[in-house]
Parts: sequence; C-alpha cells; structure tokens
Amino acid sequence: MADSIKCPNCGSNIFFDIEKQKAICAYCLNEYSAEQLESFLNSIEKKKETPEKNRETLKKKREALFADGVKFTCNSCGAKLVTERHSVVTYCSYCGSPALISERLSEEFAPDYIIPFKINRTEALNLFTEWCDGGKWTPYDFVSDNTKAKITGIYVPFWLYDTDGVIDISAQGLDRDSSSKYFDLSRKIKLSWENIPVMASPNFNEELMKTIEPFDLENLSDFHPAYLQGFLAECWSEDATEMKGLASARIAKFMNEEFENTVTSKYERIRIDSDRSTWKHKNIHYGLFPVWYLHYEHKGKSYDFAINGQTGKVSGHYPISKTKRLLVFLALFAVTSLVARLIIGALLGGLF
Amino acid sequence: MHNTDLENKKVISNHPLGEKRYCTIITVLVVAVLVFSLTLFILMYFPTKKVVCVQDNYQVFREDKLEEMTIACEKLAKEKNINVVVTSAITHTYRDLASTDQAQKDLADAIYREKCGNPFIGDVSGICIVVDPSRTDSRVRLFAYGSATLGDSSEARRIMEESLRSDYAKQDYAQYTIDGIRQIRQTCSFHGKAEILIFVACFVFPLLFAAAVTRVAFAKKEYGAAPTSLEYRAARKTVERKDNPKTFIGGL
Repeated sequence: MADSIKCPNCGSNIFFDIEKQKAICAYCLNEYSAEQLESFLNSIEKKKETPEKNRETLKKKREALFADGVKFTCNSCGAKLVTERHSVVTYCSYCGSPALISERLSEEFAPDYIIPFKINRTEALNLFTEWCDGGKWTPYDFVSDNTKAKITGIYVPFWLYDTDGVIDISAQGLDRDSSSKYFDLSRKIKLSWENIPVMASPNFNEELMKTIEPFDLENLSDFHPAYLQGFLAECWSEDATEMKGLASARIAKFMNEEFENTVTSKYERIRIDSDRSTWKHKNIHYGLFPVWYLHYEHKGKSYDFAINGQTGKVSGHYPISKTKRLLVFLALFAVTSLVARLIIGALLGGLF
Repeated sequence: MHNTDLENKKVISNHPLGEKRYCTIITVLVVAVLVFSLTLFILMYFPTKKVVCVQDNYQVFREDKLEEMTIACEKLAKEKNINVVVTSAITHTYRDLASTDQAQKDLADAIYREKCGNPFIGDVSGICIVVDPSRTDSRVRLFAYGSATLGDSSEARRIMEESLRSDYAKQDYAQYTIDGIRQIRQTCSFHGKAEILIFVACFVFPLLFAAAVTRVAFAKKEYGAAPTSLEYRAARKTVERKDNPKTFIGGL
C-alpha cells in the first residue's frame, strides 16, 4: 500500500511546510506538528530490537520489496503505482497525492533520523540561478523553466557512523627552523567522531554530496514520515556493512589530517616509521538528509547540481555553451589580433 | 494549457543575459571587429602602385644623372615592392649635430609622407634617401618605413654611406647615389622577415592566446572541498606526544 498522511480534520493531503516546519493541510490549512501525527507513525512498523537478521535474509527481503515493477496501491484513489526501485516517497500519477510506501520505511528500512528541509523551492531556485550566473555561459536550456522544474527536493539516505579511533604513529621529522635538526617523534591521540555521513545510494554523485556537507547535525530529528510529505525520498540501497569501506576511507583521511595538524607547523618533512593507528565503528544509524538535486544531460555528458537542503551550500558543475565559448574565443582572437596589428603599425611608422 | 516552452524562450530572450540577446550583442561586436581586422589584413596584401620620387630642390645632383637615378629607383621599387624616395637637403644651418640629425629625419618623414600618403593606413613600406652635402659626415642617410624597417634596412644604410665615402673627392653625389641604389637592389631584401613577424604577431599569437585564455576560463572546475575531521569530531585526547632530537646526522 502507498500511504499518504491525511489531514485528521478534513481528510485532504497534507504537505510539510518548510517555513513553519510543520505539516499543513492543503485544503483546510490546519497545521500539525510531527507529534500530532503520531498515530500515523504507529502504522509504520518500527525496527525490532531483536538480533540482526542475517544478511542473506535481509538481501532477499530487499530484492522482493525493491524489485523493478513492484506495484503499490495509492490509498487516496486506489490507482496502482509503479515506483522507482529505491523510492520511498513519490506522487500518485493519477491523483497527485504524496505516496509514502510504508513497507519501504518499516523495520530495517526505517530511518533513525531525519533533517527536515529548511531551504524552500524558491530559495533553491535563487541559489541555482546565482550559482550558474543566470546562465551567462550555459546553454539556453540549462536555465529554462523546464530545467528548473527538474530540480527536485529529495531526502537522500545516509549511513551515519559513530567511530572511535587511536592515532599511534612513530616518525622522523626535519625541523622547519633548523634544516639540519632531525627529531624522533611519536603521537598517540584518542579520537571519536559522531555521525560521519556516508551516502547509502548509488543514484547520486558521491563526490558532489560530500562537497555540500556538512549538515548541521545539532538539528537532527527523530524520523517522522510527516517530514517527507511533498518531497521525494529514497531508501538505502547499499547496506551499512557494504558501506563500511567508504566510512573507513573517510576515517583514514580524518586521522591523517589530525596527525598532520600536530606536525606540519613544526616539521618540514616527515617520514613515518610505524603506523599502528586503529579505529572501530561503534554505532551506525540511518538518516535521511534533505538535498535539492538536479541531474542534467547535455550533448552526451552528465552534469549534477546539489544544494544542501538544510544549510543552502551549493555545489556542482554546469555545461558551457559551445556557441558562447566560440564567440568568446573569436572576440579574444579578433581583439588581440587588432591590438597586435596596431602596435606593429605604430612601431613601424605605419601599419604595413 | 500554457505553452511553457515558448514562454520560457521569450523570458530568456528578453533577459539582458538571456542567451539569444547575449549572443546577438556579442555576435555583432565580434563580427564588427572581425570585419575591421579583415579589412586591414586585405589592405596589407592588396597590391598598390609603388611611388618613385627623385627631387633635387637644392641642386645637389647633376642634371644629366637625374633620369638615370629615376630609372634605378624604379627598378628598385619594382623588384623590392617598396616606395623609393630620393631627395637632396641642406641642413648645415642647424647648430648641433643632434638637431641636424633630427632635422634630416623630420625632412625625410615629411617628404615621404607627402609623396607616399598616410603613413598609418596603407602600404607605406619603403625607403627615403636623403643626400646632404652640407654635413661633414653622414652625407647620405637612408630611412626605412613600414615593414621595410624589418628587412635589410641596416645593410642598405651601410651600403649608401660606404658608396659615398669611396670617392669623396669627386663630389658626384648623383653617381654615388645611383651606385648605392643598384647595390641595394642586388643585395638587400625588404620583405620576408616582416611578413613572418606580422603573420606571427597578428595571427598565430592571437590565435594561441585566445585558445589558451578560453581553455583556462572555461575549464571544468573541481567540486569544493569535503569537510574536514573537525566537522564530525566529538572528542580528542592526546595520550602521548614526543619530539626527541635525533643523535645522529642524516637525511630523511
């Protein structure tokens, strides 16, 4: 069943209002906090505190639930919906109601946390226009309303790793002040990080997603489906165990940064003699983070653009119009050629 | 039902930075500059009639030699595709040598401009020979103009000066000048280098410059930096930190 949260007052669809940070009924304009819609939350089966299912069972369950062509029934109009593989929220293509696929938000697929959208669509479009200089150098189509309409507010799934680590490094360093002084140095530092996000879906550009971080994790809320109303959302498609490698790569980078911070001011060069650093992922949580996302294809090339839906941080690449680039090239060529010719003319006492 | 596509195009084309308007303005500017450049370029290679002028206002040359000198100048002009002007001058009234030199140059420039047209626009490549018996040195000076300055103008200048010195006593300035012109015709070239230089400066360099600037300006930029450890760090405790000077000297 594809659910949508209905207004307890009039039964119309409700949508999450970014300015008010509340769910609002599109018909009777009643406002509801997430707590007031608790009854809906109860319909979603929580993650059971039983021992973890083995990966094989989980994988089979995922395959059944997220297979291509799995149909859901819209609870507003009864239409049969076929959704994207990893979508957990979509719209009914018949009645336009937000459609939450409860099964994909239940048990193992229920997020622990969510960061609600703070940047609304208008702000997102303004940030987009500002970012691409109003389309000064892009093809016409890139800044058209058709493309802007494709900028989608989507909750992207992230695994959040709490990790403890110990940097334990012995090295030799060449003193910055005296180039002939060498030091034996050792560093042992205990560190812990919280909520390091690692994207749990292959459908988004991972490097791009890293560059719109950080999210303000102080404002992490407990998950409630009311926040999803009016946006798209995806479920994780790569489990936390599979993503540990990426999490570890980030930790290794962080540890390297932390070690370098303790030596770069004093030493010019460092040679590591032994590195016994270790880390352990303590807790893993599952969260949905808000992103305004645009994927754009231009002449066979892909361009991605993303806005952090909470902080408004923007990142991405835009296509350059070949016509405009050619015009700039010709203008530069003509002006340079003209200037060169005038200079030569002046130097020779005549143009030729 | 709205025709969104059409409306979008209208909105964007009316916007000052809308692609269509933007392209139109730039296109007009580019075309204007290109047309101007092209005109100058065509003028550069447009075959023009070369000027030959021999004037003897100060009666320095023998009259019977003037025709021979004119023929020699015409041959030089035709073969080397340059203007050739020969003039006599008396500049001894100037008090010092520097101002006399300048007076000669001014005189040559004025006569050359008068005979060969505007020196800024048009094919002004050529030489002007000034014969000035009033001076104790540099009685014959050669001035080059336009792309002729990039040719063998120094060599031509040396030839003219030496041809006069070779038989100073006879004071037959016309004959010395004719000999000098003939020798220049045989040994000097006033083009070649100039054409290469102008081609490089006005075509190759701007082409490379424009390509390099366009490439750098429109290079695909990297995404911004990912957050550092500090963003997610909850706690940090230094357990051990040692920095002991090494007891031996050696490189890393």
